[in-house]
Amino acid sequence: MWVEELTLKDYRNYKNQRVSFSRSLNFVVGANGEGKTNMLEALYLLATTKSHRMVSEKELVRTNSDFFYLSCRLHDARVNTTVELGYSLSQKRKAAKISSVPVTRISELIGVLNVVLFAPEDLDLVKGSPSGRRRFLDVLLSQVDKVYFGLLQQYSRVLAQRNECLKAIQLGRLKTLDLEPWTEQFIDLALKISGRRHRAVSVLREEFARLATQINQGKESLLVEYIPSLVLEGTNQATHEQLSRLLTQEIKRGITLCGPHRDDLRFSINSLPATDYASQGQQRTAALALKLAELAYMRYIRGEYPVLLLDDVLSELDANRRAALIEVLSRDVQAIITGTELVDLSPIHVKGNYQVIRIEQGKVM
Amino acid sequence: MHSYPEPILKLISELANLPGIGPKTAQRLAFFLLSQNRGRVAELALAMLEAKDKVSYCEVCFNLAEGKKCPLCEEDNRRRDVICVVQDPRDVAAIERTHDFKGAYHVLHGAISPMDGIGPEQLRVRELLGRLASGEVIEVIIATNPNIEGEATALYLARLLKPIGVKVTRIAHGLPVGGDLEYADELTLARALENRREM
Ligand SMILES: Nc1ncnc2c1ncn2[C@@H]1O[C@H](COP(=O)(O)OP(=O)(O)O)[C@@H](O)[C@H]1O
Ligand SMILES: [Mg+2]
Ligand SMILES: [Zn+2]
Repeated sequence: MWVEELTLKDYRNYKNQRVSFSRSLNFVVGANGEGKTNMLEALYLLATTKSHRMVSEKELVRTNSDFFYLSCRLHDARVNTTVELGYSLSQKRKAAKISSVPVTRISELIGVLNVVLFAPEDLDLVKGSPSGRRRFLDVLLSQVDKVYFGLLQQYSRVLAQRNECLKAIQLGRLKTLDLEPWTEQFIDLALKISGRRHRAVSVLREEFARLATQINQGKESLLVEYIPSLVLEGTNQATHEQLSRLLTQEIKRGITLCGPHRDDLRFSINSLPATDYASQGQQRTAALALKLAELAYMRYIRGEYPVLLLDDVLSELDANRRAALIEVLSRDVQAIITGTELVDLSPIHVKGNYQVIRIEQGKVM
Repeated sequence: MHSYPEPILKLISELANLPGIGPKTAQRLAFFLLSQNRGRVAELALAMLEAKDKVSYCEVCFNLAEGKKCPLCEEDNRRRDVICVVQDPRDVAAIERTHDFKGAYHVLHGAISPMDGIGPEQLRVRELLGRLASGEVIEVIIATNPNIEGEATALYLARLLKPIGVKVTRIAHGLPVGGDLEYADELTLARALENRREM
């Protein structure tokens, strides 16, 4: 899959800009604060409907404007598609179109454009909080599986209701029996979500291990595994029993203590937990391998590579890590790479077919 | 807006309190009403008062009624041994439009939602139990909405009613009739597959 053209209107520091991309390698070059991350953020937003910087929509609207508008033209093996997304500050509303047809729900956009983003903050994936790793899985799975996104939405609703119910039981306003309808739906959704994550990671981890070994030249073994907080094997009955053992504690604290919102991805280095032992370099290796494995996984599911967005990370990668990246880039992947200066990615970019986009203050020069 | 006379401001603010109406629409409606002749406006005001005064809830099923019982509970040739439980009087109207159901209804007036402080006590659940006490009813069909709260309400009722010995059924989650499978939304399709039946 590749993006041919992106239009940004009143988005961040872009007033009205159209950008054309080559279908293989693109370097977006500019000094700090000129709008490189903003451009990748726009593509991420079109793919997932949310900013990776986790800010509210109103911060995305250019200062003193009322709305932003983004559109991109993309190609995959079968069709050409246009994706448009707008947001109005005064109406507090998003609107979107896919190939000129308005969508009824904005979430219909998710999965049309597929991206993998690797940004400086992803270097914290390994040692950072579990919520970052769960978000990694959720963004990945939502892009390739429409049902998954729907399940997540239902799950967060059930979870909120179940937590309210637990609090009401604690205060004596409801009876323990009143929890049952929420627990039943909770278990159904939780097992579906965790099951999907588990299956995805069991595919992803092979590619992760292979890439990590390649990057560190076999010096140590890096592994990733999915740690569900609920027992996945077995029946709904087993999960019921697991939950009932927690019941007293859950009522006391007024929150649900296990489920997909408590799951984690665990990295290990030579069988030791990476959260405690990973060096800077090992974290970097793990983060890069994870992102490239994500790319491979999406290709495995969708039959096509997503667009790879690399924000300001290339200059920080050493020769081995760059080599791993080059191997991936030399396949049929469109990459949009930002940096303050051009980075030598020979041998691939000597083959030509790459493009340099220079930006200054939200304008392509 | 502050330059408007007080009575208009009051009208706008009353209208803006109605569900689904924002300040802009409220303003448009207020000016529309002002542009009408007095008779038309009086008719509207009267219709609102009359509806409020004359419409109450049926003492049997809690559907809308003009008097003690709703028209459906007054009908002679309806089955009384099957009760269809819905959240809202509008759901009764929707099912009636199918002309396929000839039993009785029971309107809960909402669904269980701890977030909104709504539990079984706030719904017409006790009254439903009262209707089942005579043993005349053989089946309760639960037709609450196919969302999280509707489903929770259905699960709650099923657990409550089954021990009484009455048959409890839930309307099916399915695909829209006359549509293409290809265009069904993924979650609906997944649900429909899960609830498939043998032929
Ligand atoms: N809503 C906005 N309106 C106008 N300018 C903005 C807005 N949000 C961010 N900016 C500007 O965008 C610039 C940062 O762009 P960014 O893409 O993060 O830079 P970089 O090229 O370093 O990645 C800053 O100059 C900031 O002032
Ligand atoms: Mg940046
Ligand atoms: Zn009635």
